[in-house]
Amino acid sequence: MNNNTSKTIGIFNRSDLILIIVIIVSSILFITLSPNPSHSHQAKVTIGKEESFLIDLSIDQIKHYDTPHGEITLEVINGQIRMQKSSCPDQLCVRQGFLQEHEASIVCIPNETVIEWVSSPQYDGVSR
Amino acid sequence: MKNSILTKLSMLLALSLILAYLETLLPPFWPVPGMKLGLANIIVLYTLVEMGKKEALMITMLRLLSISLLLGTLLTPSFMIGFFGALFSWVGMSWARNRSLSILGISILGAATHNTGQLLAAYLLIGSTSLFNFLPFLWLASIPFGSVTGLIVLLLQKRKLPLHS
Amino acid sequence: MQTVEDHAFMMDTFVTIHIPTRNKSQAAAAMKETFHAMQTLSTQLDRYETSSVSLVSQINQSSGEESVSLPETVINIFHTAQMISEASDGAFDLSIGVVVDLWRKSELTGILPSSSAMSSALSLVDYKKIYMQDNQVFLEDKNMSLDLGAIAKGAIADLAKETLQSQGIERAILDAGGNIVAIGSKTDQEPWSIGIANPNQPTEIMGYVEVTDLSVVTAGIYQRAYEINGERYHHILSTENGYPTSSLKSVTILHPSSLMADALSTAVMVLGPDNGLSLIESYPGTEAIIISADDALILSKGAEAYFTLLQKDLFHEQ
Repeated sequence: MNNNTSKTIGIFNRSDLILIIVIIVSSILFITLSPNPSHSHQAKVTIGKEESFLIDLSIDQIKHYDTPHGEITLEVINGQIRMQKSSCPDQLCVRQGFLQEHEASIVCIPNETVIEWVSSPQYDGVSR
Repeated sequence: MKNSILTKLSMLLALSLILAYLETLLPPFWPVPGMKLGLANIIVLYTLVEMGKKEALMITMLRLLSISLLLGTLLTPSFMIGFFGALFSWVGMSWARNRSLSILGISILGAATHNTGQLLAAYLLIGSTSLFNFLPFLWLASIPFGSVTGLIVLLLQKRKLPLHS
Repeated sequence: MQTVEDHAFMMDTFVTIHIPTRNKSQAAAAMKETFHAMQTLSTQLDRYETSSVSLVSQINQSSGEESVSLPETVINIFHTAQMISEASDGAFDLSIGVVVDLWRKSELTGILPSSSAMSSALSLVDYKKIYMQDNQVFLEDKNMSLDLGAIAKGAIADLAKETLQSQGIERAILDAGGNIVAIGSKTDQEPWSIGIANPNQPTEIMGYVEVTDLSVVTAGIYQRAYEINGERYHHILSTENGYPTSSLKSVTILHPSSLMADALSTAVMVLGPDNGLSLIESYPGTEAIIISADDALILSKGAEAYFTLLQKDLFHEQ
């Protein structure tokens, strides 16, 4: 393949550049076409493939859950949700902090947990 | 298998393990989970271009197995995701090897397919489509990260390291 | 379309009014008037308010002695309550006050009511001894005591709806501590969507109802619960034995009137699934969503048209 590096632009050859452009264009298309996370008073928490439930963000709370491979602690304060503690080694989910409005989700791969905004249906009230 | 090849493969495997370990010492890139430099891919890519597809697959699988045995993560979600990523990456790079892409191009494609495989595995595990929102960012990151690892392989080739006995 | 939202604290809970409107100043004025009316009625119905503004306190203090005359808005609440007491054969009863007091004391002291105290308290629970004539109310026994806790929020929510509508508000959501009143529809095309709490984890939503011009009221064992000797007790009391009810975890009622929904939700909690459901079916236009003690989901005949279950893995339909 080194024969093909004759037509090079910088350190990349033409095929490389085409690949790079394809990646950039499809990424931008993906980003612009995917719907903005609409944020509401609820967040959906998925643990493993089976368990998923909604959490009311209008109530400050701290909740512990057992996951298939460990445990997590969610914290809700002032309408925001974050992973407060997680038994996972990398702690990426904890470091992400509160789920921001432009972010789609908080993911903890080792604990198979996803926290995401609920887009629909949004509730106009909760009877409790 | 010839002894010389076996020795070479063992050496490469050891190197890839060291690099994978080094990678865990680097601060993780935030906020996209799973985004990392992919240092261990340097060895897989080197093996692929210098030796062949079969050897690269061997290095990939043995590395995954050794690491997970060392860290005790065999068959955990992290292992499954790493496995899918590595397999996708190997398929992507093996395909690209005989095309007109340079080593940098192969490396970028390897990084992008790696990320795609990882996300697919994560989706199969968790089943939340919101995971795919990370995909374009991982694709974009594969350009600089893939270039860096590709460049290192290029330098390795030119240096004719003692590895090249 | 903009929305105007405001909160007020009354009846130990937050009341929120949410009005989608183009006319912000009209909505704000209507809201102010509504909160004022709600505040007044809530004091009138509060038995713990000892001053003369509390009509319920006056009735309790005059028990066995003299009758108290009530304004029309309040006497209507009593008529509705008495109707539900009769229909539920006393499962719902405004004269539960003495038993409520007994449990309040237990909550503070951490000692369960003695059986003698309980039976003497229960002897004072009898809606048939609440006499009403014209605008007068009279309690026959000297120590009888009314507690409108089971219907106060509903009554006040209905008043709020009336006040808002009289001020020209056509669409609004009122949330009186979990008693929801939907006025009109959300838009011309879509109804209001109201989540219903999971009684096991009340901060989670187990499902939702889509409603137009209806009140959604839930009674549940998780509301105002407390512990004595490590056991959990809640505030919905059986008129039979005076103890917290146990056959159901939560009852959600859909009805045009929040007062009716409030009274019926308590009645069904006390009656249990079978008698409760037949009570609901005897009122056309009323629907119930019931979670039993073993997490079975029980729906009244027409409830399916409104309700969508989200936590399918947690509650099984019957």
